[in-house]
Amino acid sequence: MTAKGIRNLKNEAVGIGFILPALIPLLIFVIYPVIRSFILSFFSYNMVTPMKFIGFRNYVKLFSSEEIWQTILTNIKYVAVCIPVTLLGGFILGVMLSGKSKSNVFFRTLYFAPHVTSMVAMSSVWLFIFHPQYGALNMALDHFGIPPVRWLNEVSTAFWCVCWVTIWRTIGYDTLVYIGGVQNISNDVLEAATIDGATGWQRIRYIIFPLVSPTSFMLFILNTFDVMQMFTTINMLTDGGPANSTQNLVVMLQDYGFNRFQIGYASAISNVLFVLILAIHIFQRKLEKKVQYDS
Amino acid sequence: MKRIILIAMLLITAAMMVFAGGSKEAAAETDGKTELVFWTRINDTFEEEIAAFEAAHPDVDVTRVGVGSDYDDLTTKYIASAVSGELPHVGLVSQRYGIPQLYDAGVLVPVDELMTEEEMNDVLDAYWGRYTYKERKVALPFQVSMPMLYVNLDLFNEYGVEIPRTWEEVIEAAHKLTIDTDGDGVTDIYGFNIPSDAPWYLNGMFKAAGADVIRSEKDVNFNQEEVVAVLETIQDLTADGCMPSNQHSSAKDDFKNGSVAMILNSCAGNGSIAKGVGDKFEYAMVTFPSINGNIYAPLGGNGLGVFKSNPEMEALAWEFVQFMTSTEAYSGFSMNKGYMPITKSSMEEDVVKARINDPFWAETYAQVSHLYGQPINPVDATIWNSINDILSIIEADSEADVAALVADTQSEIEDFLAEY
Repeated sequence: MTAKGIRNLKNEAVGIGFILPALIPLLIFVIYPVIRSFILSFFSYNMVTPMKFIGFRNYVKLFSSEEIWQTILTNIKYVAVCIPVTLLGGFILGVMLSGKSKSNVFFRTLYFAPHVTSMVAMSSVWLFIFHPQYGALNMALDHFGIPPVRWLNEVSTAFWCVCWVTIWRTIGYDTLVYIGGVQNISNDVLEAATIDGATGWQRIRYIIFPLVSPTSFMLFILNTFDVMQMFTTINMLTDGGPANSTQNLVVMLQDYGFNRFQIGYASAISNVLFVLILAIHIFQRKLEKKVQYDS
Repeated sequence: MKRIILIAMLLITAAMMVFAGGSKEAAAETDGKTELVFWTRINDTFEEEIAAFEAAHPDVDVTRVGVGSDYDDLTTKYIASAVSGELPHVGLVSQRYGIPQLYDAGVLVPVDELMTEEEMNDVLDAYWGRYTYKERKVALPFQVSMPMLYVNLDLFNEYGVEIPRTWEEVIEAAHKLTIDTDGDGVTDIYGFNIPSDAPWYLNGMFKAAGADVIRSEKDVNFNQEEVVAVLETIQDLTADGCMPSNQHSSAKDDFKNGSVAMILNSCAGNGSIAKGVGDKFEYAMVTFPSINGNIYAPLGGNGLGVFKSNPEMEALAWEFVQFMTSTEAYSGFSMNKGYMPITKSSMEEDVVKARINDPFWAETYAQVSHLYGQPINPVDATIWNSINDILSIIEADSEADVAALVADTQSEIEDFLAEY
C-alpha cells in the first residue's frame, strides 16, 4: 500500500471513529430490533421456551381478524384528527405569540408546560376531569344544565377525549417551533408588504404561512410519527377501550407481546405499523416535493 | 491529535457498549456480606421483615428491588429477565400468570425440592392448586388473598335491601340500589361494579356455574355455556344501567366515594378501602356470591419463588422464604394488609385466632373453606386478557354476541396451546 493509501485509510478510520458512538447504539437499539422483529414474526415465541417456525401463520391470523383493521383505521383517524388541529392551532398561536412582550413569554410557558409534564401524572388529572360521576368536566357542565357525559367509558366519546388530550399535549410544542419560524422571517419582507398595503390577514396568508412551510413540514412529519406511535396517553386513559375503540397499533402490540406473551404475533403487528409509517412517510416526501416553500 | 481523538472515540464507544449491556451477574458479595436479591412490587417494601432477617443473619445483605407497580409489570420483568439471565435469588411471583412460563424456562427451583413432606402438608390444601404445575410445587403460596363482596351498609339499610348471598341476589340488589338521588334522570349511585382485575372474580364464577375452564396442560375449554351465561349477566347488568359500563379502573374509588353500592374486591384491598371510606359510611366484606349453591373463591395474591443460582444461594434463598412465611414475619405487614394465613398450624396462633373472632373478618376467614386454587397454565394470560376484551365489548354493546366472542377466545387458546 502506498503512503497516500495509508493516509487515506487513517483518515477514514478517524471518520469512522467519530460516527461509532452514534452508529453502534443505532445498530444495537434500532437496526437489530427491526431485523429481529421481522424474523420473529415468522415464529411462535413466548420469550422463554424455544421458538417454533410457523411461516406466515401470524400474518394470516392477523389479517383475518377484525381487530387489526379496526386498529389500523383508528391509527389513521388519530392522524387525520390530531395532526391538522395541532399544526393549525400551533401556527395560529405561534403567530399570536411571536412578539416579545412579557405576556407572550407567560403564554408561551403556559402552552408549552403540558409538553414537558409527565404524561403519566397528567393522565391521572385527565382521568379525574373526565370521570362520569364526580369529574370536574361534568360538574362544570351541570352548572349549565347539561347532563353528564360518560367521556372515557363510551365508544362515541372516548376516541375524541384521547384526541383532545393528545392535541393539548402537542400544541404547545408546535407553537414554540412556529414562534421560532415566524421570528426568523426577515422584518424587511413584512415591512415591504405593509408598505405595499397588505393587511394583517394578507401578511399571514401570503408571507408568513408560505415562509414557515419548512417548519410546517418538519412538524407534520414529527407529529405524524408521534401520533402513530402514541402509547402512554391511550394506555393511561382507556387502555384501548371501550371495545377497542381507542386502540392503536402500539397498544395492540403491547397487549399481545407483553400481556399475552405472543411475541411472534406482536412482531407481526409491529411490522404492519412499520409499513404503515413508511407508506405515510413516502406520501409526505412526495407532497413535500410538490409544494414550493423555499424562502 | 487525530490519533488521540480516534482513541477517545473508541473508548467512548467501548464504554457505551459496556453500560448498554449492564452487569449480568448480580454481585454475590458486597462488603464481605452475601447479597440476596429479592424482587417485589414497588409498594411491597417488607422493611421490618428484611431488617429482622438481616439482624438474625449478620453476614447477609438483602437487596429488595421494587419491580413495577403491579403483578403485570412484575411478570413482564421476570419473563424478560429470564431471557437475559438476570433474575433475582428470590421474588414474589404472581398467581395471575407467568409462573408456568418461568418453570418451563428452567429458571424456577421447585419448592418441593426444598421442603419436607411435613412442611408441604402444613400449607392449606387449596393454596397449592395455583402453584402446582406439571405435578411439581413450583412456588410457595405467600400473600394469599380471596375475592369478597364489599357492601355499603348505609345504602343497604336506607333502602331496606338484604345483604346478597347468591349471584342472583347480587343482581336483584344491584337493581334496587341503582339510584337517582336528586331525581334529575341521571344515575347517581350504581348498584354494582367490578374492578379492573375482573377476570379473577369471573374465573371463580365460571367454576361455580359449572365450567371447568383449565382441566389439564393441554385441555383448556373456555367455550362453555356456563361461561357465556355468566358473561351475559354482566352484559344485562350494564344494559339495565345497574353497573357502569367500562368503568372498572375507578370501581374501588367509586365505592369509597359512595357512588357504587357493591363491588367485588380482594380481602387484601381492605386497608385501602377502609382508608378511602373513612367515616363516610359503614361497609362490610361479605362472602363471595354463590352460583347454583356453589361458592368458589379463586385464590389470589402472590407466592415466593426461588430462582436457580447455586446450591448455597438457593439454600439461603429458601431460608429467607421460610422466615418470610413464618408467623413472626407474616403477622405484621402481610396480615395487616388483609392477606390470609398460609399454614394450617398458623390457624392456631393467637394473632390468627384474634382475626377469626373479629366480627369484621369473620366471613373472610370462614370463606377459606371455599377457596379455589384454579390450575395454572401458560395460556392463563391469554384467557385473562381475552376476558377483559370481551367485557369491554359486551358492556359497550348490549347486542354483542357473547357466545361468538367466547368461541373466538377458544380459538385463540387452541392456537396458543398448539404452538406453545
